[in-house]
Amino acid sequence: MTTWWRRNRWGVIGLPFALVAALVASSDRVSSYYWHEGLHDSQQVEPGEWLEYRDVLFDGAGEHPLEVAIHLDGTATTTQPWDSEIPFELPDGARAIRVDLTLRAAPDMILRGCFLALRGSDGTRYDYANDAAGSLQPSSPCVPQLTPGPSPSLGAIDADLSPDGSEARPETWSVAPVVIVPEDADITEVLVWWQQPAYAVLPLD
Amino acid sequence: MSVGRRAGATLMVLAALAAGRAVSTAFPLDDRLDAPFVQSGAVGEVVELRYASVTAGDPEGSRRIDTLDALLESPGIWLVVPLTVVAKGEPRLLGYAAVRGSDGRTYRADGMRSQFVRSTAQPGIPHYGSVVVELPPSAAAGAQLLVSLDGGDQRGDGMAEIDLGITAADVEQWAATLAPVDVPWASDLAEQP
Repeated sequence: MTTWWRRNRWGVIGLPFALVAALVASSDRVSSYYWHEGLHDSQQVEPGEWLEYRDVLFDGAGEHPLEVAIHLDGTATTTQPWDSEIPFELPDGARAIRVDLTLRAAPDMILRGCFLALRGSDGTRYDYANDAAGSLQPSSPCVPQLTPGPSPSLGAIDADLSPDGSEARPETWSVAPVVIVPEDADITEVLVWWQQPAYAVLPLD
Repeated sequence: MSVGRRAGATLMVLAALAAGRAVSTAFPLDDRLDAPFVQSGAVGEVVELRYASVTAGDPEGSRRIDTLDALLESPGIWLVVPLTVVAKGEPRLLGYAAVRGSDGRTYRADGMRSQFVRSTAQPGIPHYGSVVVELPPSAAAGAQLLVSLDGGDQRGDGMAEIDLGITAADVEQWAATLAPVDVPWASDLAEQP
């Protein structure tokens, strides 16, 4: 007499594979809505240390390694935007925080188009905006405005674009982007990223 | 396996499939699964959503608006609703605003003529914008303002539904008004420079 297990052995053996296949087939949104969306792959150092940040940049020409060293020199309350003559017109209950960073990378490393934010002790993120409080700051907060280095490729139209006439970016440089935050925000970290989900975390002292 | 047992097993499988079908269609869940999480309020009240607090100001109306340096006239009326947004958690650019008229139709501020004037709101700092919608006068009294985060998909996320408190007398007056309502730029400053 054959037992139930013996009669159904192939079905039982195949069941875990069928379950895995069903989960994989229904999980495409994990990639679209989680893996490549939001900041959740952090690279962090202790306060005052250099962060050797590594990521892969995708642009119109494919993949490029992204290697840059970042150091948080400090933060300070200010009333002046970065690299702009037009003073801020701050709304009531807001203050401006200057973030002093020093960065180091090969001059041919593509670093334009980065993002910067401050994060509070409650997890709230305050983003750098180049158009903030009635003033204009440089669009890319982590490269020098006049010598930003190469841009990400836009693909087939690269050949039709005007050549970049700026000088090469130095190997080490400093930036001072300013972020508008609420007056009572308790800022604990500076965040820098190029493409989500990876991001650099630089804690304040 | 005997023919009788085989037939019995087949009947059991068919019965299970029929029961599953009955359970999945017996309850009208589709509308609820597709619905946003609505938070109701009125003009001047703070409506708390997952991603922001929003407050609608007193609506204004006219046949004409002066919006971002363009003068627009409507055969119906223009409705201009000031909106204050305080983002939560991270900067937010609200993507959806519309007015649900008393005729049951939704008049969306989608940038064609009707506009959702706003920019990105930094958390904790009030951001002042406005919702500008063109609609027939017959639909304006009793209209509600709808605001949500995602411009393309409002399912499963918070939506503010704000009673604008518009009366038939308001509509009658607005339909006879040619003086344009000014639509200011969005700003973090309470009073425009």
